[in-house]
Amino acid sequence: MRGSFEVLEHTADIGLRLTGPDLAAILEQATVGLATIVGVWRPGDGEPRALSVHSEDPGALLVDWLDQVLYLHDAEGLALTGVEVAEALPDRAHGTVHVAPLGDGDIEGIQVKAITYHRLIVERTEHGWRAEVYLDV
Amino acid sequence: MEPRRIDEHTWELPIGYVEGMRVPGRIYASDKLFDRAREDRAIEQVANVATLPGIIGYSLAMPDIHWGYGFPIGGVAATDVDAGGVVSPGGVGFDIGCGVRLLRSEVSWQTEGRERIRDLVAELGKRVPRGVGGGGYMRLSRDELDRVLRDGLGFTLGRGIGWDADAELTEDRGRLPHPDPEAVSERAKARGAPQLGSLGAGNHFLEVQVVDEVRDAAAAEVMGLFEGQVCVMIHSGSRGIGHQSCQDALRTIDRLMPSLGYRLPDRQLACVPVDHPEARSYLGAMDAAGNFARANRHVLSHVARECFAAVFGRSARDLGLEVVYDVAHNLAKFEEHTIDGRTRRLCVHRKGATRALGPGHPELPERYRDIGQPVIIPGSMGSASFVLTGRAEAEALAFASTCHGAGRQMSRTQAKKKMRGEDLKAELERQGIVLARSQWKLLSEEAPYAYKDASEVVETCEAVGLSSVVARLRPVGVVKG
Repeated sequence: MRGSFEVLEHTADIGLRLTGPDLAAILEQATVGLATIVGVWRPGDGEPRALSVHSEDPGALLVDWLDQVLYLHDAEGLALTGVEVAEALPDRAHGTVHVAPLGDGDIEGIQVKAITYHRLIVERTEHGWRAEVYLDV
Repeated sequence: MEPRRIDEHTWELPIGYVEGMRVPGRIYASDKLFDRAREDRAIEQVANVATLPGIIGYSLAMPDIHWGYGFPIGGVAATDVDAGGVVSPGGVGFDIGCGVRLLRSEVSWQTEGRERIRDLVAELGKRVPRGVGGGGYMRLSRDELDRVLRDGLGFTLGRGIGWDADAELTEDRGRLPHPDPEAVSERAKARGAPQLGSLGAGNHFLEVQVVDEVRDAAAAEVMGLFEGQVCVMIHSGSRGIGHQSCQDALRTIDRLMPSLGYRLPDRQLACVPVDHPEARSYLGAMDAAGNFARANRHVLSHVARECFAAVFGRSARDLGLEVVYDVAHNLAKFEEHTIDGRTRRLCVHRKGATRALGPGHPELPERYRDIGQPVIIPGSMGSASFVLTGRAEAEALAFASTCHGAGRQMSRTQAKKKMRGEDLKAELERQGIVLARSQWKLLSEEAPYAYKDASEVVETCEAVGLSSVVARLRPVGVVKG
């Protein structure tokens, strides 16, 4: 998978720092990062679910995308097994997230309540794109 | 520009501390608490909140102020409804209606509680739904969920869960005044429908506690509290339904911001005039989610009562497991306050702050009319919690508000590095605190040393005149997600 994510942590804050060659890679890394924090990233086979968002700007696009990913886990009790973003423009994106039932047993992760706009950054750099987004936990 | 000290526990941020402030900021804190707030830049967030259109008086922070998203935790902001005042969903937070309920009992720790605590915690551990993504005690149909959102405790009492007297001892008698289930999105309902009667995770808990010090004997007697008594404290909120309702509102209002022409220093402060249709929609969803939060704590207390009855072999009524009070610390409410001699209708945001009505207030239950509203302050796992009462001075000082807790002082990673979960469990057991089964690997993230001590916070509130300490409770059994 292209790009990378890093978990940002400071006292009560949890966030993600994302880098990638394009906006699609940012959304893919954000998906993996969120699922990792929540403890539901289980790479492998899974049922495909189409995701599509339309937003005002790249920052809102990242928040809206992650909101949909979080919903799949929290409302349907699913683990995430894969992600491909087919197209990501500054105001819209679509792709596929693969999911599988969580099964029995505890989840070793942090409960994420929502995605914030606090200190939200999504911007182009010399080498591609970078982003930072904070999660309410 | 520097903060100005007004008196021993009051600090002011003058207009101009950040660009666009409409009122000064005011922080109630001891030197130590103020220094911490300065270090984590939460005081800058107090100044940022002062830029909200229609804000009146001061942008306020309670002594437990710490860094939040947009608003600081411990923040109180009132906007004038008749002067273009706004509502900001970030000023309530994602866990709409999160709060605390305290149950008292007739059980003495010395004579009965101590010998049954392991059985009691094991029973609670088996029966209290909790954890990341966990379902609740009740699974609701969509119609039943709408009734919870509309009626709060009215729904659960109608289903035979809890006692009628519980509603009288819950803020707003268990039902917020303007819920609109239609304003709650299908996505929020899908997240919330399976979760009624569940703790969640993070700092939420159900604890068995013992009253270990009574400081105001008269108020304690009114509340039915006495030293050596076993109590139950429940700290939880509106679960996925509140989280998603706030997320939905932020998205909608964020999109409106360019058309409103507001310039705000943080996107998370997005806001809309109270009389705007989107504000009405958010406020309807917020009251609905607040009703869910109250019903959630109510169902959890029902589970606790069942567990007590099973372990002690007597009914919950015989055990005297009555509600002392149930109060939220994340909510916005329409309230009347007198400012400069004029009564105004305000939208009071409390994010990590508790309403604290003084003695004689007409909204108080009859039982508490003479002593003021009970305020329940949860400690962290393994540290003391407190019961306070609201004071009349809090009206002028902070729109009748006080603190809500303590807040983290260490990141989760730092806390985990300091001690393994299994070692922390052993350490807490040595201190006489029994833990229900948990995710041991994650336990130390919520260790007592990761949180500030609530004692200094409640004592500062007392020194300022916001609230008075009635009793301190120590945990003896902990159930966490």
